[in-house]
Amino acid sequence: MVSLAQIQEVPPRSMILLVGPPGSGKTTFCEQTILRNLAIDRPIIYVTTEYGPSDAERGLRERGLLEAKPGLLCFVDAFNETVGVSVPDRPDTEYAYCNDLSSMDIAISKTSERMQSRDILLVFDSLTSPYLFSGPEILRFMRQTLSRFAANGNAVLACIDEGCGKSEDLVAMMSLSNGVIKMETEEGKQFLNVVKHPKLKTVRIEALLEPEPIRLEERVINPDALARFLRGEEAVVRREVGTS
Amino acid sequence: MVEDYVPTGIPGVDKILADKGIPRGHTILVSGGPGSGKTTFAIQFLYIGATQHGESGVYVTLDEEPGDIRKNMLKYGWDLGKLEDEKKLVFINVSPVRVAPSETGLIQIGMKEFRLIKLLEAIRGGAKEVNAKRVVVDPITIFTLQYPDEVERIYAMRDLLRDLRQTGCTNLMISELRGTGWEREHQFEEYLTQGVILLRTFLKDGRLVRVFQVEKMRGLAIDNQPRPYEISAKGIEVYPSATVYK
Repeated sequence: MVSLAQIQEVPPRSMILLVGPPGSGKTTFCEQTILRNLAIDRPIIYVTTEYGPSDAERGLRERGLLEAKPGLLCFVDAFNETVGVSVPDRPDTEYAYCNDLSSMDIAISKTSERMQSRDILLVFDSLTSPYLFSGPEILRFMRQTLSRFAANGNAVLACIDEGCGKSEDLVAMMSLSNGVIKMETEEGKQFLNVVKHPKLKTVRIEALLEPEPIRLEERVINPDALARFLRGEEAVVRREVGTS
Repeated sequence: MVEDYVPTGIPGVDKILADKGIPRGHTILVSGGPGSGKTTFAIQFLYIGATQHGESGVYVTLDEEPGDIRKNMLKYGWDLGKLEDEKKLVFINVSPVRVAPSETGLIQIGMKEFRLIKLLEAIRGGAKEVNAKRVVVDPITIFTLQYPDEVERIYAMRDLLRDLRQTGCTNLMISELRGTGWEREHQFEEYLTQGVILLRTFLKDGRLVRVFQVEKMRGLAIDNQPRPYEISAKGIEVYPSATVYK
């Protein structure tokens, strides 16, 4: 029987795509994966496009992170500068714009250079906003930045909102990835559907991702609203509260 | 055959130049739009040469005042005045095209040969003064403005390039890039020089994206793909393994 722990291992030299509708628990899955890998001293690059590093850190703490070993957890903040929020510089963070894929490529390569290690796990939460801005160019980014990063002896876990764009783009994203995990909810139950995986056989397991639900909703920003905001069509980023 | 290479020392650039640098004695055109960092690139080349490779430099300015350049480069922590005192750098201020204040609107042209000779003499003199290995002429565009006739312009440029080669120095010629975005005109200087480096800027979703590209570098198997670059507090930094996305 495949366990949640096995699914959250993310084998080296692979890119796993985590697909699910908004509110299905992708961020929670990412946080658990990060904690599990930090526990075995695997270095982590946490790329966030919907919230900043301090929120990300808070999320990890709520899930039990006390203190990561120095240099083991680094952030790429593709949220704050994109929405125009100025934040004090953090030594563990590189900044990027989620509407500029090159800037994310640079920030990732700077961070991995600084960490000076192989077998880094890069967690990308999420590809939705960059996809909404850059369209199918995201496929080149997945191939040339993320897949190449993985091919260099690292691993990638990337999230995408199901139904946020054209279905053929989602299919292309899935075929570019070495593994695909779909998050599904059915009658109030959560399931992890391992559709494709380099190590595990395809399986669908019920997973209780949130034993103690935390108010994740507060920092989930509707990607459509964000896109409109960046195009100057909306004055304020509307915070979505209470997504499914 | 070229056996020797001059490392630029500019982060990321030598990696693109086959992990070597610019073939010694070659003349390279550095072309970019306004604000793309052409002068910063050129000064960084000379500053690193003088401070890290023991190679003195000559900076021929045909446009900006040396005082302004000295002041502007302090923001990167480059104390050019100190290098000048140590005879590692010399500024030569040659402005062939200048509006005399008393003759508003009059541009001095018509003494072309004299100007070209003067420019070459100045470069040779400066190179000798500090025993220079690196030379920058910034910008070459103003020099070529003196020659409205294209054939004449090409001859003048060939003369300049020939004389620069005889100095044995490695030379950067700065020019202003015409045309925006990926579309641009090819400039005749690109055919005459032994290498072409482009510094381009694009606007994407209201954000400036900088793109570095070595278009040509004779004698080297280079990476000629466009690569992103930034101008930070430390000067120009190119990301040789990063990709430029649309």
